[in-house]
Amino acid sequence: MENINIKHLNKYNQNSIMIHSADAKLSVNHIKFWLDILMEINEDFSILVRDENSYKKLIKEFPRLQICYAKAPVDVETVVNAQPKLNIVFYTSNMARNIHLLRFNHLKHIFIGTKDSEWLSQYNKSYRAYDEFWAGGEFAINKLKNEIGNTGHLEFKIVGKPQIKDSIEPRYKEKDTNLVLIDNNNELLLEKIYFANKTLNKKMYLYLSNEKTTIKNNLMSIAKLHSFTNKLQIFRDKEVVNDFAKRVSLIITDLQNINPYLLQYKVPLVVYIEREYDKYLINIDLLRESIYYFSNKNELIEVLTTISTDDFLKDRREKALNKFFNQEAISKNIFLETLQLKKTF
Amino acid sequence: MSKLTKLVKHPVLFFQDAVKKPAVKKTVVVKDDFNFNKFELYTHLLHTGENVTGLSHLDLWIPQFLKANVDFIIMLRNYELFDVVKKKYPQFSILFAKGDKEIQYYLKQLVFLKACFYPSNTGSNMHLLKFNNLKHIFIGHGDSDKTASAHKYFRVYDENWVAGKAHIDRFINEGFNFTGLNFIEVGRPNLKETLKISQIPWKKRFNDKLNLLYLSTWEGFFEEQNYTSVYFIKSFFNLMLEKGLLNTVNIKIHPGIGRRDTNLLSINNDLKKIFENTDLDYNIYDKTKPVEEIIKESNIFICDISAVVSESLAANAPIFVYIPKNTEIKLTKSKMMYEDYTYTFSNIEELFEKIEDVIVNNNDYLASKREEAMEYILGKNETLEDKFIQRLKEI
Repeated sequence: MENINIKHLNKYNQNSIMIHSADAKLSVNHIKFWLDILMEINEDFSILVRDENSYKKLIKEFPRLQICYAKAPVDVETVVNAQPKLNIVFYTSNMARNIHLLRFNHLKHIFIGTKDSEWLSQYNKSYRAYDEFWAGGEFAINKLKNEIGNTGHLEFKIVGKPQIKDSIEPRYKEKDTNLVLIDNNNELLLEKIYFANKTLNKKMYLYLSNEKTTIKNNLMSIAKLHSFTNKLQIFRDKEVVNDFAKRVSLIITDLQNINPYLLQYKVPLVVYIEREYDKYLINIDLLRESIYYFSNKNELIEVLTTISTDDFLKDRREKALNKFFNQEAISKNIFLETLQLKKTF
Repeated sequence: MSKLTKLVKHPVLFFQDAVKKPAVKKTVVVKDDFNFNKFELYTHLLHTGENVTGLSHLDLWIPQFLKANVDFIIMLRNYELFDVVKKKYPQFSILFAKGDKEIQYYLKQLVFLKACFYPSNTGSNMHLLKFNNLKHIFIGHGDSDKTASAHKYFRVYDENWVAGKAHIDRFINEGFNFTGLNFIEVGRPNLKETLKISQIPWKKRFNDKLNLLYLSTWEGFFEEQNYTSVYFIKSFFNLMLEKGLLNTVNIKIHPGIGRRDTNLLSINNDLKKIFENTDLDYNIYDKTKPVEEIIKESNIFICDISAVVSESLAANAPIFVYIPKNTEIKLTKSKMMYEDYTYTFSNIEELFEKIEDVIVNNNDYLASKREEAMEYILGKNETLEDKFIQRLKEI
């Protein structure tokens, strides 16, 4: 157990940017979410994590990056002092231990959040410790303003989520296809979706995890019997969900899997709910009002038929997408542009 | 290695382990309360995330909450401190909450709560700050111009209650934006008695006797931030004894002394040795003695850079402040610097020269500036008018 490790920090570094995560369990994910974007800056930057295990994992995966670990306030001070050009600190999560870094007045403290923090976080007055709050879109900014009232000095910047730049670009969609992203244990739901697709002769791409071999075999046997195998494609690798989502013309999902990121594919989202009022389990109005619902096979057939002629939620979906992830900011690389501007000051 | 393998391959180890007592699992207390009455209408919550060192912060404010006659409850985040506080203040309601969950548990029950008061900045303050419906007020634990007293984290609070204008100027001079943080001048209520005594000229205060108080800081985490004068104070006292200028010497060394430089751990004993065979009246106080009580009994002060300089200011008597040379002094600037209202020195010769000038030659040339500083730094009028108590009542 050590209190500090800065051996991966270049001795004569010129780092002006550092990204910080104090989360004990999720630091690796938080950092990795932003890593590709930071790489695009084409300048040296450092990473500071406050959990030793996360540090070890990150160092193992990215041995050439300037990753530091600091436990106590005095260790954080050492990390800051070892980077004389340091100017900007990005915070991925709002943890109690951020205070050790936030006390440095000469640094610009910018909160950028994590993949899902903008809708999962309960914003509170401690966010006022930052100088700036960079958000995907208006949604997070309005949420923060509503929750804490007086935001004082806090500057807001809409930077989009640069990570989804590729998905929001216009692209060809395969007609009459859908991607099915549902809880793999819900076989009854899978059955409903299969038969609805079969009835309408629509192609379905289904994600099934590796351990669901029996379900896969059963489904393939039925499809064979129905001569529907060419319309059913099952894939086991979660990494390729994004690729399929980009090419289909519709996504069928459930309450477990629905989240604002699905809006990035710009196709209708159809969500299974057991009862009408279950839709209120989606606690973000903007998302709840941008999706289609079904509770049984017939309803799904009806929804899919309607959408094929009149996707009446298209505008609402587009509006929601912009509120979560401002497309203009993403296309114009506002994140990097703002960062470049900050660095020149 | 299974038990069977161990028995076969290492029988000695097997039997040694067999007779060992099983490890007793320690139960970690995560929440506890003392005199907590769910039906009491607590409106004010005094919170500290410190360990036992937080006791001095509480000692500073509890009497003021009591005088204000408001329904208050104390929230602690360290169990050792909880034990100490409930023994010292058995008449008050005290809560111990280790983490976020426990804070949520208690706050649900404090339905009449209006405001939380923070004497220091600790990471765990954040758990309370999550309650957007409450007013969050930083009250500090003494006036200081160290960088820790004016930084960006203060912006999380709704209000920062400060002694005088100096603290507001320190924020302004740090150059960051703090729009939204309200500053309220409340004086230094714990120094009210000292301020009253200070109306008697310092020389006449103890029947023409000179009572010196030496207040040191500790050596800091880093050598470049080492502001302590303890390294040469022994030589100074030896010299003062030779001159026979003093009647009483009071000493309070910072409790953190020796944390980095272990050679300093014996400083209290070393100082005791200097005085024990003399006729001089001397007292070496430990951390339990509140500094404001010793200040009241003194009329010359030798201090290191720390909050004790402004505490001593309340006595309106000459203060000699050690400003080390060749050391990076990171301070926040107000309109009045140490050299404006205190006699600064960097070595023993300089200290002795200034003492001779001010005390022997009766040349207290900073007297009027000192009075100005008492208002500017301590908020003398606000203190005498009980502004802190008034504000507490207005919540």
